[in-house]
This record gives sequence, C-alpha cells and structure tokens, in this order.
Amino acid sequence: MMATLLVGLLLLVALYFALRHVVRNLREGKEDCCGGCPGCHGGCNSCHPHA
Amino acid sequence: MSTLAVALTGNPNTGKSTIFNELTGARQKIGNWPGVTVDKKVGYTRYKDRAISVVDLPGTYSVNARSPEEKIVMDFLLNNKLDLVVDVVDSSNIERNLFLTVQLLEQGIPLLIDLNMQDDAKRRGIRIDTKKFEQVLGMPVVETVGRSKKSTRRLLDVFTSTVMAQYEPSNLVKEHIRKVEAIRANGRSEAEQQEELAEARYALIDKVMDYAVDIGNVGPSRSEKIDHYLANGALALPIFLLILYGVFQITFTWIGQPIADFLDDAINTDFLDFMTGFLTEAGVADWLVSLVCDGIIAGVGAVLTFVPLIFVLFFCLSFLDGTGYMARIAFIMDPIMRRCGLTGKGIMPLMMGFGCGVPAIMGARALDSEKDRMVSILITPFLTCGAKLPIMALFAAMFFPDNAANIVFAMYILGVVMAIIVAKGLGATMFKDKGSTFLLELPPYRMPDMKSVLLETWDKGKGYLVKAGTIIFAASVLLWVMSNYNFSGPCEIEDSILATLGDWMSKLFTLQGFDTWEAGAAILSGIMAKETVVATIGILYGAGDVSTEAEDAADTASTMMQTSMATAFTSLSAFAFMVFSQLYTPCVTALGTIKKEAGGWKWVGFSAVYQFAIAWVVSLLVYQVGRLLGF
Repeated sequence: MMATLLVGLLLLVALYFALRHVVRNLREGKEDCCGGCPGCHGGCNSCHPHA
Repeated sequence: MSTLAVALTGNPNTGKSTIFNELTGARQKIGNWPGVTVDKKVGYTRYKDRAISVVDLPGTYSVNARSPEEKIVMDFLLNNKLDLVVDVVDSSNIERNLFLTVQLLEQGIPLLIDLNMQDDAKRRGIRIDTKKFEQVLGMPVVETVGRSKKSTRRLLDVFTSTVMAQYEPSNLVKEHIRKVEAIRANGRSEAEQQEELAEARYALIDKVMDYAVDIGNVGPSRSEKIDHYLANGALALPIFLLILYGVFQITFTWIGQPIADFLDDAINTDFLDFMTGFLTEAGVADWLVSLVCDGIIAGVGAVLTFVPLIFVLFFCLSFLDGTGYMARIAFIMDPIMRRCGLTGKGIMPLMMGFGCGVPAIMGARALDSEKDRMVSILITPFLTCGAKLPIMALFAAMFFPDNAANIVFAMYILGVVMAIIVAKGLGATMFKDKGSTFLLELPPYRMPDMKSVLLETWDKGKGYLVKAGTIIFAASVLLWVMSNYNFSGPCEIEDSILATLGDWMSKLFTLQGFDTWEAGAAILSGIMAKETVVATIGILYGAGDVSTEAEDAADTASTMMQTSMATAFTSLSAFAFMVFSQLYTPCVTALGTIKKEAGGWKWVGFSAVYQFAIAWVVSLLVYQVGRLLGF
C-alpha cells in the first residue's frame, strides 16, 4: 500500500511537470524540436538561414 | 570585479559562431530574443581573473532594422551597456563585410574589428595591412583564423586590456558620419536617402580598401574549383543524392542502428525487467506496475530507442552544414524548384523541415513573394521531420531488416517528391503570382570545427529527449489509461476507449491493408506528436499482461512487439503504413504554426484535410499496386 502511494505520488509529480511544460509550450507557441534545423546553428532561429 | 560584457556581431557565415564556441565552450545558454523566434546565445568564460559574458548576436548584412535579426542587433547594441563590441569580419570577403562595419561606426559604436578567416583570405590572394586598417578606421584590429587557441587568446587578451580606450574614430570616419547626418537631414524621400547613404558608405569602403587591402590575382579559389563539380553541371544532383544516401547508410546501417539496438535491449529488456521485478517485489499494486511498465516504459522507451538515430542524422547534417555544402543544395535544387514555380531560395526553409516542421514553416517568412511563402508553408509537413524518423526506423528495421537504410531513404525521397508535386499543383491553381528572384551567398568550403558540429548536434537533438520526458511521457500515461479503461471502468484492451476510437479510424484504411484498431489508434495519436505513433505501437504491441506474468513479459517485450506487429502487418501493408505516416496531417504544433504564419484557421483545416487525403490516396495506390505486382 505504502509503495503504491509512493510510486503513485512520484508519477503524479512527474506528470504535473510534464504537463506544465507541454501547456507552457502551447501557450508560448514553442516546440522542443525547433532545434532540429539543419540551416541554422541550433535553436529556433528560423528567420535567418545561417547565423 | 564586474563581469565584462562582450557582444559578437558580423555578417552571416563569418565564423562568428565558431569564435563564440571557442570562447565559451559548453558554458552557453540558449534562449529566444523577446517576442521573436530568433536564437539568443549567451556564453561565459574566465580569463586573467576576469569573468566575461559573451553574446552571439544574429548574423546580419546591415542594420537597417528591416528584418527581426537587424532590429535585434540594433536594439541590443544601442540599449545595453557593453564593454566591447566585436565585429567579426570574413577577411576573404572583406569588401562586402565592411558595409556592416561602416553602419555600426555610424551609430558611434566603438568596435574591435576581428579580421577572421585570415587563412582563406591569404589563399585567395587578399593581403590586409592591419596597421593601416587600424589607422584608416581608428579602431583596433585583431587577426584570427576561427578555431585556433592562439586566436582565442589574442581576442581574450584584448577583452581584458584597456586597449579600446586608446582608440577613437579616424578623421575619415568622422567625416563620413558628418556626411551621413547631412543626408539624413536633407529632407529627401526615404528611398533617395537610402541610395545616397549607400553611395557614401561604398565611397568610404573604397577608400579603406585602397589604403589597407591588396587583392592579388590568384585564379579560381579552392571552393570555386570544388563547386565546378559539386554545385554546377550534370554531376551536381547525382553527387547530392549520393551524399544523402551515404548519410542514411551512416545513420541506419553503420552507426545509428547498432546504438539504437543496444538501447532497445537496455531499455525494453534490462530496464523493463529490473523495474517490473523491483515494483512487484516492493508490493506496488498490479495496475500501477502495468502503468509504469506497459505504459510509460513501453511508450517512452519505444521513442528513446530511436533518439540515437536522430543524433547521428543531425551530426551528419551539421557536419555537411559546417563544410558549406548545405548552402549549395539550394543552387542544385534551383532548376527543379523553378519548374515548380518556386526558386532555390525556397529550399532553405524546406531543408529545416528535415529537422522539424515548425521552424521550417516559420522560416518561410524569409521568402519574398507571398506565393513562395504560402506554398512553402503548405508543403513543408510532407518532409520527414526528426519525429517521423522513429516511425520509419521502427517499421524498416522490423519488416525490411536487410534494406532498412534504403527503405528509410526512399521515404525521405517520397516526402521531397510529394512536396515538389504539390508545390507545382498549388502554384498552378491557388497561388499564381510570380515567384521572387533568387540570390544566395555561397560560403567557402571549410573543414568543419568538430566542437561546433557537436554543440550544434546537441542543440538540435536535445529537444527530442525533452519531448520524450514530457509530451511522450504524458501521452503514454493517457494512452495506457485509454487502453485499459472504458466509461464503465477497467476493461479488456479490446473494449477500451482507445480500441473504440482506433476501430472507428481503422475503417478508413481497409483498402490500405492496415485496418487494425491498433494502427488506427497509432495514426490518431500521431496528430498529437509524430513520435506518439511509435509510443502507441510500443504500448499496444510491446507489452503483455505484466500483472500476471511479470517477468516473462518483461523478458520478451521486444520479441512480443515483433511477433504482434508481424501478425498485424504484412511487409506491403507496413510499407503502406509508412507511406501514410510520412504524408498525413501534421502534428498539432505544426498546425498551430501554420495558423500563425498563414494567418487563419482555414489554412489549418486545409492543411490537415488535404494532407490526410493525399496520404490516403498514395498509401492506397502503394498497397493496391503492390498487391497487383504480387508483393
């Protein structure tokens, strides 16, 4: 019972932070994989082809 | 002692980022400039007991505040208390680079002029007399060759000295500034003033060049000789395809896949085994063991397994970018793009789409014509972004183990071909205005700096790790709940909410050969984020009933996934599923970006529906023609 509570609590905390991150991204229009731009040197600097 | 604030500015492709990386190493923070999606890089270092912060400003050709980058550079330089502004100049292209230098001097900004790429300049017969250069501008000058420790020390020595205080603009520069002020006050139209300003600037640049720079005639440069084969003529396109094919072999056969296989064993067998045993022995309730093992580890693990492939692919692309070859692709593709009514310039944002559709869609802002911009936005999601890569890698490894790299390569080519066909169609029907002209500077070929390549690879790839720990984690929990419950409570997986939704969806794919509810559920979940397709497959096909046969299930999770998938798909229907996944509706974030960039929900609806329809038709053709051919 104790172990279930502990693991459940840990999961809830992790889920809270994961969802907070997702909601913040949605609100700010951000995307984690924006860094995946071969034309730019890292990050979401998509407006210029080469920095 | 206070921190020394230094800003690096300069044209694009001057080696500014390499100098920034050399100065600050891994001590960097990357964020966005307020209100725009332009990268803000700040790094830190210590030298001679001084703490130094370095800001890497976006590369710009001028500071007319016409683009977001130009506005950022001007605002930052004028509104921040900086100890030093370093103007990084490509010595091999000095005349053009001086345009920005002159504009910065007009603003009264004291500069340390870094004549970078001295080695390239010397090879091209360009000799710069630094003493004369200092005299003619009245600003200190440092010579560097980008990634040498000696160059970095030379810069740091100037940063920590009081040398800047000894300099003031030369009489020539002061006279130019007076001339500029007079032009700005002459009351003529903005266009006329800009023309006069440009003339005045080039007049000053000519004087500087005459006085301090000697350009010898050494014939075509090394880059021009290489470009004779790589960027021009009949060989350019085959060489490009060959290079791309090599990248896929490295990623999916030689380096990436072995690492992915190792990780698959480590996560989906060893770690799953350990966690199942540990949680069961600790007395955790069966449903929670199942949530952790069948849901989270199976879902997140299925995605994490493919992250090495993403890193290897990004490493290869960053390496190619570092050599200067990526910029040539725009030229190579220009004739093909032109036939579709676009220009080679449009290939630059499209190439970003191989990483992620979101920056690629935003990158379309850089295109001048409305037609190019809209077409680019609408065709970008056809390309294979990093998030689709796990889907391709999973199915290719499972159904075509001997030809995995070729199959994934074919999917990438399919994405490009579909983008080109659709661009042609959109150009002929919905967007008929003329495209823009195409001008792009080709940087010289260089041996990439490995430190910069590795940092860039990390910058690009880490987002996928963050996604695995956030949206994929949350999606895995949701998918587990949806696959274990219905509105009456706990149930068998076949009666779950996910099975019901997947079943509705699967009815659309009877003619494509993948009409199982699991495939339908995976397709539906992929609209949330493309990696979720793999997470769903991992959850639905990957795990058994851990609560009753805990250890057995954990031991055989990977094998069980293979067996279940082999039952659900044939090689042909798996290929049709890959084709559909490659082309169908973009993820939610990409749709949100389309709304922002294209300006309205109608484009979101259009993009979602027309891509789904095209994916449906193409996968149908693939499956039915494949059957006719006896596959």
